[in-house]
Amino acid sequence: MLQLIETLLIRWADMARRGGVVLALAIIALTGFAGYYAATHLKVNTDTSSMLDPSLPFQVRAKELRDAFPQIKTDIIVIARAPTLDEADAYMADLRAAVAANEEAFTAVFAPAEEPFFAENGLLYLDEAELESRLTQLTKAAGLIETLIATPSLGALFTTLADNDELAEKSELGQDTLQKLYAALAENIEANLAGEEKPFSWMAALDDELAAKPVHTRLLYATPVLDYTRLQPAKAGINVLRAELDTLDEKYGGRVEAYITGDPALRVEELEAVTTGIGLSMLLSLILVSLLLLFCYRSVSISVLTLVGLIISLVLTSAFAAAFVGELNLVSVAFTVLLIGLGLDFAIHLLLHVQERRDDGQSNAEALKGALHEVGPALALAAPTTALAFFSFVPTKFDGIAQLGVIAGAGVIIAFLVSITFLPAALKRLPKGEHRKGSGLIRGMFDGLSKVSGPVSIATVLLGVAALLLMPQVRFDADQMSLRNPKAPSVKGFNFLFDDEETLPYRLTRLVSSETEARDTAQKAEALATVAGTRSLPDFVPEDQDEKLLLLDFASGTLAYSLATEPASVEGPSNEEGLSALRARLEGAYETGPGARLAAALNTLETANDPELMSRIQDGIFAFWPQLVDRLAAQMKADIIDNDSLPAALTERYLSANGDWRVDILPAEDVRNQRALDAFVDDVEALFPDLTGGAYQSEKAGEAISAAMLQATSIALAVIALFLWLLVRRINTVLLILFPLVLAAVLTAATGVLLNVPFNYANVIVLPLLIGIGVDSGIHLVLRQDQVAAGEDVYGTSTPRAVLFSALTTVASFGSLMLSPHRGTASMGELLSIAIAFTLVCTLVVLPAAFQYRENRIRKAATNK
Amino acid sequence: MFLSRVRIFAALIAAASMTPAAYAADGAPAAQSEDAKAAKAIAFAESLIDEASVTLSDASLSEDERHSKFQGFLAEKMDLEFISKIVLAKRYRSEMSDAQSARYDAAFPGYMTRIYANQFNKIFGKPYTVVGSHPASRGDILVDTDFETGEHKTLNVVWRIRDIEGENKIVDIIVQGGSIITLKREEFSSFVENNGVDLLLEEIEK
Repeated sequence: MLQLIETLLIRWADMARRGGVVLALAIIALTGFAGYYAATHLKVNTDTSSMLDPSLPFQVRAKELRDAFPQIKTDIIVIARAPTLDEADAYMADLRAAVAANEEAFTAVFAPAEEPFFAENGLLYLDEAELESRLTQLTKAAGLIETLIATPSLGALFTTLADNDELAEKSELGQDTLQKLYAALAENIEANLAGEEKPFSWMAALDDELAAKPVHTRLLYATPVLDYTRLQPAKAGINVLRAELDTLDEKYGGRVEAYITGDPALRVEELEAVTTGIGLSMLLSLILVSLLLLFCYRSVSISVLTLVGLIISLVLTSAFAAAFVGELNLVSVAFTVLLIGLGLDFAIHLLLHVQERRDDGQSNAEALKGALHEVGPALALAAPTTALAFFSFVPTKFDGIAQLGVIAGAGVIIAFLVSITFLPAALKRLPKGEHRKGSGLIRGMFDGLSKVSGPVSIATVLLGVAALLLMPQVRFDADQMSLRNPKAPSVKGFNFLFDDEETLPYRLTRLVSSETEARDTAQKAEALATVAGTRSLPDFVPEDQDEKLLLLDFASGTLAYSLATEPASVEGPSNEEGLSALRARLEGAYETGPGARLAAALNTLETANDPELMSRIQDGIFAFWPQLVDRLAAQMKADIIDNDSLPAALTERYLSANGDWRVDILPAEDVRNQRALDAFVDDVEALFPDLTGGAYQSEKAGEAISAAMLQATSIALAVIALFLWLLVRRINTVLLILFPLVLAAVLTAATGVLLNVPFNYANVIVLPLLIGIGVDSGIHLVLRQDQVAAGEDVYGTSTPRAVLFSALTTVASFGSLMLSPHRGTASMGELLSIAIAFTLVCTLVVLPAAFQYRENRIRKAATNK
Repeated sequence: MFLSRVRIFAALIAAASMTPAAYAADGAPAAQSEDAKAAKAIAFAESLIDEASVTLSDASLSEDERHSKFQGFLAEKMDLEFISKIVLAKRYRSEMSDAQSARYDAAFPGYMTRIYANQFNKIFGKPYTVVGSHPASRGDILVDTDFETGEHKTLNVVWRIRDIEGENKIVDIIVQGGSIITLKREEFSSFVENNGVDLLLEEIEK
């Protein structure tokens, strides 16, 4: 069979050689058309949910959830983080107004904290005790509120505080509130004295819990107008938001951090990272590969010829992808870089041998024939085995790698055909003998290797056995976020969502058909230890409203007068008078504590005698005062809430147009930890098998992809073994070829454990790929060993050199992926480089040692006979 | 406070124009009824203050007798049953046994009137001005008064008055902007949280 293959190859290549320049130019012209077609038809889709078989049960339920609540996929989320709640609220109110006004770019906006409904009724969502406490604070501050509405100045503030301090001492009313205010004012004045512009937070001054928080977060959900003629339909909306955030950043002096996240933003930035990464990788790998080729051939013309052949293979494969697949995903987009490594192998093996023979004085025809005699069968075996390794991805449920399998498998065949067609055709144009003699470095290296191959092989095998102990720790990370660039603003923003239970992205969701079922689901789920709570529409109807409204009624009675005061209607005492009065009062009343601290700060301020500083402090203290007053006034308008009075922007997130009620189940622990995720999903799934949601998707996708990886690896191994056996008909040869690959696979997996590089959506292709790529080197070495004379070793031939440089170009191309800002692509580069490196060691060291061992045993058996 | 009485009155007029929709639905007749309610509430507040002042200055009674009579007078004028329900939060009331509830209902009126009596017996008898009135929720009327407590000093007291079956009753008193109900509720909640209902009952039974 091998002889037949050799004969066919020699005839084909010779025909191509005779075709000469005309054939070469025809191939180049075809490549031109193919390139145009690929450029105009090939797309990229970064949606990881579409990488798995849509018929899988969890995929079906995920689609049902998306169809019922499309905002999950379409909403852009803006997260604002500010040092004070006042700033966060003001910022978000401004943003909400801007988005709501831009009907061209957005169809809806929902900023929970700034929605009029929640502004008015927010207090009803507090529990009774919290509401009591809040209203008591407000009641105690009513007098102050009234004065400061009428006279929003430092003079009025300080004078009122001085008066109230005296009253508080006598009646013990409001002492807590006063102390809180003193502490907040002291901090603010001290900061201003130190040159820091610091707005005053009234909310923090009146609420201990708020004061203790270093950062306050507010969210806004914007539903963009989607333009499906664009690759990224939400990009226009994202750009509008980015411009708006730039404007607000200036207005708020950079004190508010804002992040755009949500599915559309994550995908836009992911696509940018992936394409930038691939672009950089391609460039780097081409440069590295070119240098390697020069070192390998020591000839510019052969190097150029090899590169031209590579480019032809790449372009033709891209056209194939455009015609038969249509769009690339996060995994298959790396095919270009993979092919740079794989596509050169055939050319390197062939041209090295041709070069060697041409240097010995042979003609192109003779050199080609001789080279194909030596390496032709190996090349013909290597191409389909590598392609088979890629095609083994196709039967799996992971469409992501199935696509890559089809494209890369076809690419390998195309590269092989280009090597035996285009290269022979272009041989005529190659000048003879222009390469320099080598320094013998590679030869010397192999000589050294052959001396130590025994001990090194034993050590490698022992290491492999030890590595088996780490196999149970091999894990798959199904968290899509771990693929993304952690520095991308959308990813940073996304991670902040984990800080608040209300915004946790990784939750379980159940769709039910009635409110009763929703309540029942919530009640059962909340009984589980792994569940922190649930969210569904009934949760937005507060409990004990009658009691709470009663409390609010009485508080509003107190505040009615205060809030009805006409703003800035009274002149009041001067700032200097007020400062002096308060300082005197505090110095007399307090030796320690917030009162004393404020007294000291006022003393320094008085001594500074700086009207501009005073004015700046006043502006800072009253910057958010009108907003607070408006908010207080709104809160006094609370009214009874039922399902019908909830705002549509909220209702449509929990009750679909088709009557599906959504129940979100929140985890008690951080489910970015795999164990916590497993426990959470298992617990809840035992109660409700019909789950969906981010946490469920992550868990089930991980299981599906792990299974796909094992399936693809097993298929690759089995199919390649069978294919090899059918061709070589020697089980020992098949085992010799496959053994180093299995060893390399175990070592690669163990290294992944030690370096904490888990398998993920992107790098899951490593193991089956290792088998497909690694088998080539084994085939070359084994078949070449069979050809050399007994007593000689294969290191004496050009084949190890070709194997070495093939592997090095592969490592160079895969390794360049590590530069990608996209972590998924980078981890693909890391693991693939590790895998190829181990394959190289196992093939170039272990395999020849095995040959030697076999040779010795044959010789010993012959001697004994 | 720095607002003059004139300005407070102006603010109250402006606030009073924000009539709740339910009350203004019928146009002019509703406005008249609102004015009538306000006038009735003001009259009630004035009569309460005047009567209380007379009781507290009755030289024919001993101090304890005046105090006791004043408490009885307040108990008549206030809706203590309603106040007792608001001051102790529902979450505690719902967990009280029947015996505890009975003790609370029995002791609360005396306790609350003692509090008010202690608070107001130094104020009643001093000159005062009714500054105005303002509608509150649930049909209540807030009557704003200022008592002259010293040289150029006033104490603002707002009376929340509710019409219960044709009879006016006080449901809250707001002193210098602080609602006594709101403050007392917070005090009771904090006490029960730390000490339990039984100790609260002992306190109010003293």
